[in-house]
Order: sequence, then C-alpha cells, then structure tokens
Amino acid sequence: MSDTPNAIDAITAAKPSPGEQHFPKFKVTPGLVKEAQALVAQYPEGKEQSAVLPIIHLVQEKFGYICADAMPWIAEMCNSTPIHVAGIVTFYPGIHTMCPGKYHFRVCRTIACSLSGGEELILYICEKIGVNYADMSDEEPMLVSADGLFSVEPVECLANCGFGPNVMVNDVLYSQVTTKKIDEIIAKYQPKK
Amino acid sequence: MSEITYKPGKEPHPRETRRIFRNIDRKGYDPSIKCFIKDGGYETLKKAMEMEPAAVTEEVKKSGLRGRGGAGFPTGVKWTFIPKGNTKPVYVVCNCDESEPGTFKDRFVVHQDPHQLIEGMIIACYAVQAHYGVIYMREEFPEAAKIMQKALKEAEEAGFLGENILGKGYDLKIILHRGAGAYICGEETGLINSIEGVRPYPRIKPPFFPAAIGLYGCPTIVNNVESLCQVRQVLMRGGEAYAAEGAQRSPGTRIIGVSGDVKRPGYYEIISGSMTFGELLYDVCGGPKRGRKFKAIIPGGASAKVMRCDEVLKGRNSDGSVRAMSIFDVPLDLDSIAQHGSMSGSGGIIVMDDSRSMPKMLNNLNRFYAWESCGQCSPCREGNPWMLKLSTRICEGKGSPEDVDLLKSVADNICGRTVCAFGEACSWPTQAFVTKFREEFLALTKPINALKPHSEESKEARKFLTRED
Repeated sequence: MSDTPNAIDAITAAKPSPGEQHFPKFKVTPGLVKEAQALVAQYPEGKEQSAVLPIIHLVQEKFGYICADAMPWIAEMCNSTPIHVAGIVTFYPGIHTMCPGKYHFRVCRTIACSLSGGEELILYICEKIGVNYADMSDEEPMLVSADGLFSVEPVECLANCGFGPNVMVNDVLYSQVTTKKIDEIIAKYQPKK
Repeated sequence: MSEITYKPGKEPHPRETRRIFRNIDRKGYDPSIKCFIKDGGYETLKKAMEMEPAAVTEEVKKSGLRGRGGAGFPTGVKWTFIPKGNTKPVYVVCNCDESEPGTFKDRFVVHQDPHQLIEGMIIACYAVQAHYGVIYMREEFPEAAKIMQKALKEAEEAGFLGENILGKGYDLKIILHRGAGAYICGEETGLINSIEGVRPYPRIKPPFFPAAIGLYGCPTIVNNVESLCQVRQVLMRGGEAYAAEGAQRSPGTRIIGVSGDVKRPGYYEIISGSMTFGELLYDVCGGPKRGRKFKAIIPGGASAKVMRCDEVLKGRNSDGSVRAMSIFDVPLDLDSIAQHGSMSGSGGIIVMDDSRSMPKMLNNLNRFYAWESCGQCSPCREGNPWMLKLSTRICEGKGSPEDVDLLKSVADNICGRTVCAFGEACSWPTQAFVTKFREEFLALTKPINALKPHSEESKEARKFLTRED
C-alpha cells in the first residue's frame, strides 16, 4: 500500500477558503436537529434516506458548504452512512465542499447566455473581484476573492435563456446583465469604508 | 423571505393565446391563493372531483394531451400504465427540473402562478388515486421554492390538500423536494433516484417503466409542470373541446421560448400549429438583429438537431405532390419538425445569426454535455469529454480534417448505447452540426485558417466562418 491519500480522504480533505470568515463553523445545535427531523418527517415512513438532499441544503444554507464533520451527522439524521452522503455531495454541482464567498456569483455560460456574452462576463467578474480565471479547478470550479466577500462559479443553464446573460447572486437572479450592472451589484455589497 | 425579484410587465403579443401563461406578467396578480381563487382557481378541481377518477383519466386521454417535457408522450396513456389490481401506494411526481438549455417556461409558472400547478397536480393525483405527491424543483429556483412552499401551505389551509379534500374522503399530501443542480435529474428515473436519496443515475427502463416500478418501487407518474397545468385546462374545457383545437396530433397551446439572436427573445404561448417558424421568428420576435441574417435554428432545446436556414426541405402538399420549403415554412407543433429530422422537444428555440461560428457553438454545447454526463454508462462518460476535446481542438485551429470525421464517429458511437436518453441528447447536436456545417469545421482545420475565429489575425480567414460581415 502506498502513502497516497485515498479517494475518501481527498473528498473530506479541508479546502481552505477565505469565505469561511463570513459563515459560522459547523456545529450541531438542538435547533438544527429539530429542523432536520422535520425534513425527515416529510417522507413516508422508513424512507429517511430521501431527506439527505434537503438536509444537505439546510447545512449548506447555514454554514456555506458541506465540511467533513457535517457528513457523519447528515448520515445519522437520515439513517444512512457517511460515505453515502459523501457520494451525494460529490455528485451534485450545486453542493459545495469548499466555502464560497458571502456573495456567490453563479454565471451561466451555456449556449443562449453565451450568445449574449456570458463567457466574457465571467472573465469580467474575475477581474473585478481580483481572482485569476485560469486558477479554476475542475474538482471545485469556484474562485473566492481574498477578503472572502465574493466568489464566482461558472454554471450550466439557469433556465432563463431568453433574457441572457444571467447571473445569480446567492438567491437572486439578475437577467440581461451588463458589465455596468455587475459594477452596481458589487458596489452594493461592498462594505462602506 | 428574501425579496422576490420577478416583476410583471411584458404585454402578450396579439398573436399569442395565453392560457397557462394567463396570469404571467398580469398587472396586479400575485402568487397568493386569494388572487388565484378570485380568478376562478380551484373551480376545475371541484368539477374534477365530482367525477370518478377513471373518468378524469378518460377525459385526459380523449383530449390527446401530450407531455410537454420533451418526449411528447400522451399524458392520459401514461396514467393508464399503472398495473391493474395494484395494491401498492401510487406516487405522482412533478418534474420541475427545467434544465434543457433554451427552455424557460416552467420558471414563470412556479414563480408567478404556483397554485395553477398545484391544482393541476391535485387533479392528476386524484385521477390515479395517489395520496402522496412530490414537486421536484431544481436548485437554481430558490425563490420559487419559497413561493411554492408558501403556496402548498395556503392550499392546505384552504382545504385543497391534506385530509378529506372537499369532503370527498380523499387524502393527499404534496411536498417540495429540491434538486442540487444536476441536468440528469430531469430524466424521470434519475429524478426518482434523486428523491430516494441515492445518486441520480437513470434506471434501465424497459420492461419496467416508472408507472409500474418507480419511486420506492411503487407505481409512479412523472409529469412536467406544463403538462400538469394543461391537465387543468383539459378538465376546464372538456376533453373533446381541447382536442378540437390546434394541430391534430398535438392539440392545445404550447409555450415557446425563443432565445439567441432575434430582436425580441422571450416566451410566447400559441395555439399548437397555428403559426410557422417564419411567422414566429419574423412577425412575433421581430426578425434578426440589424444587418444580420438567420443562419441556424435549434428548434427544441439544445438536444434537438440544428436546422440550417438555407436548407431546402421537402414538404408534402395535400394532394400528395412534393414541394420545396425552408425551415421557416414548418408549422410549430410537435410532429411537423420531426418529419424533417429534428424535434420540437420542450419548445425552446435557440436562434443563431450569421455572425456566429458554428464550431464554437457546438463546442459550447459539448462542454455542457461533458459537464452534465452523470457517469453511469462509459460511452457517454468517456465520449463526451472526448467530443469536447476534439471540438476545442478544432476551434483553436489545431485540429486536422480527420478530427471532423472522428468527432461525428464518436457521437455515432454514443447514440443508442446508453441507459437513458442523454446518450441521444448529447450526440444529436454533434451529428447535426458536423453534417450540416461541415465546411465550417473543415475551414478551421486548414493551415491558412488555423487561427482563433474572432481574433485580430483571423480577419482574412473570416469569410470561412461567416457569410457576410
């Protein structure tokens, strides 16, 4: 056996991100358990495993991403195993194993948005928040600015193709985005000095 | 609750017939149940629940309604696939995982008129006697999830969901399940696996379709958002009246989403078959952008085969003789475009004008499919990144003429060799782009043009990429 880390270690290895300073650290509280149990209760009896995605969403909403410590807890909540949860986490592009910035830009680059300039927009946002597009990895295609406030992620199709290019900032969708609009959005979220 | 950013405002075009989109962008309309009931909402449900469940299915069958998710399978027939004498619980799942590039119709229903979907879904659940329904919503609609959650709660409080609905002794629970950004979850068995909490790999379908063995091994009906809204329309108008309107084999209205290089892109609800591609793109959408000409059209979501605008198609006159026609003369219904080798799919039309380089467009689509392949079947998992590599190489001017043939050969070898329809969806664009725009791909492999399409140095080679500047 070699000393190279195995796949599970690689999945659960911490990926440090400046975004972490803006999110609380993962901690199990009675309130969180209660919320998770309410999600499990939605599904038919004996089908607790169905709640794995909703609980992952719950954790991601509160703590920004799914860290290694969260996986065993999620597994416990939905009567599953940590490796199963890891399998789910790594499958979906919408679930992060690395903390995004406080304001997470998801930029659509699929055909319709690309026709209206989505790909140029990604480069522009990268430049604005001071990250290098070439550093984007395939494993976790996300770049976080040094202050942890902004992050950018290219995504495929946000289903608003007629009004591209589309950018989602956290939960809010902006359509027909121009570089000027990006400037405005970033200025809005930039803390006042 | 965060601020809802959808604002009404777009006036319908006079040639539109808005039924599903009746309340979309209507001034003063909000997604609350009060507004919906004032507008005549939940009346159809009351009417449907007066009928026997089998009679509701019969009505939908009579209407000839075909699913709006892309495959166009008759909705009523799908419902009858539940095995006779079934004793297991039946589930109904609403597929709101709208992620086909070019399609953007369900988004507006779930954001602006959620109760319409809920009413349609209750009718569907009642027809197949399901007591548990799931609305599977894609992760990219976080606001819609909040709106829908609220709407479900309102419907329960008003007695349209929960126990003993409308005093008929029928119980129903509908929950909202959010996806997490995977295109494959739009495939019905992948979607079912996603709800079960396992990796959403599609299941092998024949012999057992979800209607026989689906969610938790029980009979499951999976319908698209628009299909369920259409079910409500069918019950409102009556099956026969519904079948009488629009194209013969695909009646009712259709929502068409137009994106890309037209003056007025957007969503349009029209009577199926009531206009042609030309009328839609020139009259309703305002034609090409200034000084440009249409070059290519993808007629039904990114997976549909691309059509050349200067292609001569063979049309059949009513007396049986053959006449020459173009893509602009093809009527907008489910079948007409299929006769010419493409498909109408989910109704998302992507238009490209003569300023676009086709290899670049294909490269974009290949990136999408390489990214979204779930990785279950090796032809698709390995073939898609290979196609992406080849098309990238051609676009960068580093490809050889053989690469063009290789690209098509890879696509041919994915098609039909995978568990789900993703194999076809990813290979059709490549097959069609390479066959129909072969000269553009080859032009990029010639040494003189071995340059990036839109770089400064390529001005000389540009004539190989666009027909005029």
